[in-house]
Amino acid sequence: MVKNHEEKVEVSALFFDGRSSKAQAVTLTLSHGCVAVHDDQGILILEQGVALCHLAPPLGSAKVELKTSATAHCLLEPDSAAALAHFFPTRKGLLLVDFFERRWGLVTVALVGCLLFVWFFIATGIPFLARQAAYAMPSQAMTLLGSQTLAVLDEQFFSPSALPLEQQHQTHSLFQQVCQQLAVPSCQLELRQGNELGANAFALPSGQVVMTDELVILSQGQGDEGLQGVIAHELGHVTNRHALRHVIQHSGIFLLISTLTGDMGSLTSVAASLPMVLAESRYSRSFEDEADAFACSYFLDQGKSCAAYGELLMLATKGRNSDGLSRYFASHPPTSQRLEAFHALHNSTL
Amino acid sequence: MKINCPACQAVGKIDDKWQGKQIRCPKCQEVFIAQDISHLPSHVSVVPEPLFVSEEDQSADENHIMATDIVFSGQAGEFFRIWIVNLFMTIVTFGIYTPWAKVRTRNYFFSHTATADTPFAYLADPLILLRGYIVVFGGFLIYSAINATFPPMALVVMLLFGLIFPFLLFKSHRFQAYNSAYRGIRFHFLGTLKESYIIYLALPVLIPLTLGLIFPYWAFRQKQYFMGNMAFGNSKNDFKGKSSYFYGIYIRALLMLLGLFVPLVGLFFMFGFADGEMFRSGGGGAAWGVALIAVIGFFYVGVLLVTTFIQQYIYARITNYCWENSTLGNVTFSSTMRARDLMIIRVTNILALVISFGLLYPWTKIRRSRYVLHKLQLQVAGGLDVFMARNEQDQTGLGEAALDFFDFEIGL
Repeated sequence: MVKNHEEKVEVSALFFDGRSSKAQAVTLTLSHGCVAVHDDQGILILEQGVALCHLAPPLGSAKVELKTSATAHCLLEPDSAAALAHFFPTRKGLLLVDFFERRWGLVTVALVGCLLFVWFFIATGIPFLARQAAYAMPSQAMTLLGSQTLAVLDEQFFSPSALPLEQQHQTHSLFQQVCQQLAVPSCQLELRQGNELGANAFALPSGQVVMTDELVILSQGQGDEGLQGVIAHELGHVTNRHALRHVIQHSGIFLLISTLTGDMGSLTSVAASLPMVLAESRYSRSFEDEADAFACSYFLDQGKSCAAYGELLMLATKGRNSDGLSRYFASHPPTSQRLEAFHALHNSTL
Repeated sequence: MKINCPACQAVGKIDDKWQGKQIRCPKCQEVFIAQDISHLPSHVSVVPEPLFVSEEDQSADENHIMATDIVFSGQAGEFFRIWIVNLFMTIVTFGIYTPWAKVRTRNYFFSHTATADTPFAYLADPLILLRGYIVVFGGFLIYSAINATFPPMALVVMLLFGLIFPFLLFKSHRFQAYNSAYRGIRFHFLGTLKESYIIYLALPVLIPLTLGLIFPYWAFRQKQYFMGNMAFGNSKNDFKGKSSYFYGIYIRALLMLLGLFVPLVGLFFMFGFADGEMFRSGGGGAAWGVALIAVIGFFYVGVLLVTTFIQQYIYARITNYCWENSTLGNVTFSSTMRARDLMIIRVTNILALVISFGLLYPWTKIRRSRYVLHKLQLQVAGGLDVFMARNEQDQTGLGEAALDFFDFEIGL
């Protein structure tokens, strides 16, 4: 850029020498690549080459600092600073940021950009990254993680299975049978009394599947098929490494939100915890859908219907409200929706 | 003590420890030996015409005390634009912009806080902050990985963090103070690392052993550590606070908590009992379900209001007290915050955040800062021109960044 060397700019400013807290009203003159500071009686206080001065980037309506030596600086009104700006090699980046900040239109664009990004990242980015990370995890770590989780669950909720031995054996052999049919190796069934967890089943990262006595008893009405469906569903979780992905996605969401809000633990985190819960239950529901599809295709491959599994699902989730607003917080999709999905799957393959 | 420059005859006030030492005249840069002249008759020192007379100086002499307000001029709309662009830039750069965003935000609040017509300045270098963030981010990743694979190890990591926390806090205080300035003079934090370990490691261990009885003392030590070691240039803040005041406040807070909670719990059980009775006698149905939710809702809001009030009461009283017991050179302070106002601000801020999905965050921040700062006032004896800078050394941003990420409330 060619500069007019005859150009001379004069602005008033406050001068601080950096040694005392005294404020001095001065006139700042910029000409011939040189900054000169004169006091109100016209006495020269300081002279410095432009290259040795540093003009801070503009920030809204705040006064701007012009460093005139290692310690001394001048404080300029934002208008004066703007008039001087082209003399100084300010970094272009922050000038661009300032350009954005001054315009409501561009701010709106940035806002929409932020919302789109957050939506995209939560809906696609985090699940994708979590899947990559989960499949890269060595199996020893998964085994360790699984046994840790089971130990915690045993301590907090479960007691040893109280089913008759024969029924336990039956359930175990049913489990092995489904495992072989689905070609899912190295899976193990753990029977426990669920207590307050009721009729339930869990898939751990290690490939262990925990099933509660309550669920086994509940399934008796549906014959083997109901329980087979549940086992296939849990094996769906195992093969897709859902438990691990869930843990990773949880950390991902936490990291994203704490980066965006800038401060966890303060007032904002009250507001920030809501999107976190919503996003997590959304992830969890998509895992359930995936596992349901896995279970259904198991039945369809054998030319059977998922009806028995559906009925067991109805029984196990009876009394759990999943209508209205609570639907968005639920970890599982509403049972009615899951059954509809079974029918859709069934019809599409027929 | 009072000195005058032999070259330009300027008169100034400096700390007594400089007696007989070489000092540099802030006005004419002349180096001379400091000698107390306060015992000399006043006509000996020729007071030169000040080069710049600020408003508060016009009638100022050492005996005349001027009340000087802190003026906060931040605007919600302007800060909103800065905030959104910060957020956008942080996203576009995959988080690398975070330290620049942080510095810009702090800078905005500092440069819109002024006293005697001159604003404060935040001087931190984003690159130093970035270094700290990278270290902390790495630590967080390691912690997450350990927590996901082997939870008992994570406990060990937490313990380790507890061990280095006093160090980080000490560093953070130093970094924050060093990067805050007013009229070209930096602030300094002069506390020692040893004291930080006593306050943030030894005392917390003793709290459960003493059944919490030393908690107010602990709160006092934290404030004393922060306020009593703060210096502006070479003037150290003289903090005269006493732990007995803290005990008084915490006892009153406890009594208020009981006084407000007992009726609340009583009311809750009365309603709950009535509900249960109706339920059993078969007169229930949907209406009673709604009533039960209303009672629980009422109880929840009640608990929220009571706890917020108590928190803000402690914050307001202790902050006011700490300011009132501080003397920085020729400046004393008064702070007149009220718990009631703070509670109203906090509750309405939370509501605003929830209703706006967080978009009103800049407004809530500006609003609270304005209240807190406008309630603070300086009493200046003879003008704010008499402070001098001190020799400096560089600091790393690690401490500040670590605290920022995990967010421990340390505030003023």
